[in-house]
Amino acid sequence: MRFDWDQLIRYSPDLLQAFGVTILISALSLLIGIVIGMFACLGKLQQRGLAFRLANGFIDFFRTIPEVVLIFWVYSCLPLLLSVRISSEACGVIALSLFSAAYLAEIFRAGILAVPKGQVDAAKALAIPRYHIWKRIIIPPAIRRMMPAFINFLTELLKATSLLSAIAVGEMAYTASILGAQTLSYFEFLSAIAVLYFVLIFPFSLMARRAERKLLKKTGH
Amino acid sequence: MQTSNHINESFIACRSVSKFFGTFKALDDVTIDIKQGEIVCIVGPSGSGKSTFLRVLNALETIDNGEIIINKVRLPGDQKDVEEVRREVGMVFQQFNLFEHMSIRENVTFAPRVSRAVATKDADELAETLLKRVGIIEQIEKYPNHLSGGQQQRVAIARALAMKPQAMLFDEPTSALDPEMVVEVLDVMRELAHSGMTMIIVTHEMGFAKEAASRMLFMSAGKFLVDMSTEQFFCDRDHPELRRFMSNIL
Repeated sequence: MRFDWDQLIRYSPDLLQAFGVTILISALSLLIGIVIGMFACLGKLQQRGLAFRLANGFIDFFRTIPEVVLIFWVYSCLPLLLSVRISSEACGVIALSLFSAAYLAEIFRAGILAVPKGQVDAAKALAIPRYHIWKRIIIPPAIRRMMPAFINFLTELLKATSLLSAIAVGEMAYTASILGAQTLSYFEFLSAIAVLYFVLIFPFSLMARRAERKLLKKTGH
Repeated sequence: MQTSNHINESFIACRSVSKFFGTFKALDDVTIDIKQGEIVCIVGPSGSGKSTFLRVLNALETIDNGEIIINKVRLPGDQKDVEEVRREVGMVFQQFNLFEHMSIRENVTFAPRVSRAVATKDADELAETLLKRVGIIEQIEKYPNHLSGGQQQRVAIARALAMKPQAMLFDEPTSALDPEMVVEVLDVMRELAHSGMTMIIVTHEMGFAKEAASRMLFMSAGKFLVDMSTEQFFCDRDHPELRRFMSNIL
């Protein structure tokens, strides 16, 4: 068997476009996930009350159900429930946004809780208003502390976009399998996207490791 | 800014103050008055409620019973009252609690800028003056983790003073320090005491207390068992619990 470079070159515009779709869907899901995740995190930080229970239920639910089930559910059931048509791309973004929100909420919360209580006590004792305590005392160190987990999650999200092939979203995995079926050059296309995923994701893995080392040096534990 | 506090009026008044942590009674019906200019040292076994007492004075803990009146503001109160009290009462912690991601300069200027609306330039000048006073001016652009414990604690004192409080609370300010750094912090506190600042100090440094305090409190199980002038306190050996405590630490 030989590796057919011509096929790859011929279809490289399709692969490139699929690469773009993967990035675009990841970026949108991440953005929406950050916004919803922030609210869920704030809810969970309340520790009691309605907002807490809603946030807690949301986080537990979407962290527990398999991503594929969530994707199929949004694709097949949500349009029925709302009686609207939703494109498969939009379904993908919705499903991955919910998935991201649930995980990010916990990552944010862990980062905030890792800020030493003494920092907040000191700020309160100086009569610093609540808004400034959040903005200057809690959030910056919390972001630094959550960075490794956040970047690791980003790699998980990029990988999870390949699950959207199940609902025919034209991202990399789906495009490669379709092109493979059309040309019978599975070997070429699947190998190509494996490399593309690696090139896309590995730098983030390195970044996460670096962020972790930096944090370790800074906080000493 | 009103300066209507006469010298002999009590600046801090606690009336039947109780504080529970779950079922544990950390403060047990505490009633006490502290006047402006007093230097009060609180001693007592660990877990007796000394830290909790300081923390309720700064509304870092809310009390379950009774009331505290500080500079005419009543606690428990709303957020506005709480901030009003905290503006007038500074606090220094055992673990320094400097803002780790801010330079020494920012640590000292941040609170005056956001909670007293002091202009940046004025806050900077104030910070420089205070850091000179505590002997850390050379380190002004450094970050807390580049300073020794003793230096960090002196910055923490300067940071609290930058709010121009009328009283200062010290929660075991030298307990986390290596012995050779205790002196430099106590020197700063001694100087502050001479300047007429109202101070409430939880400490195990009996030498410092004997020399700097005007009044001694001995706390046990959430109550002040002994409340007397410093001279009396260091002669008095009648109180059985105090005697046991003192013989343990001296």
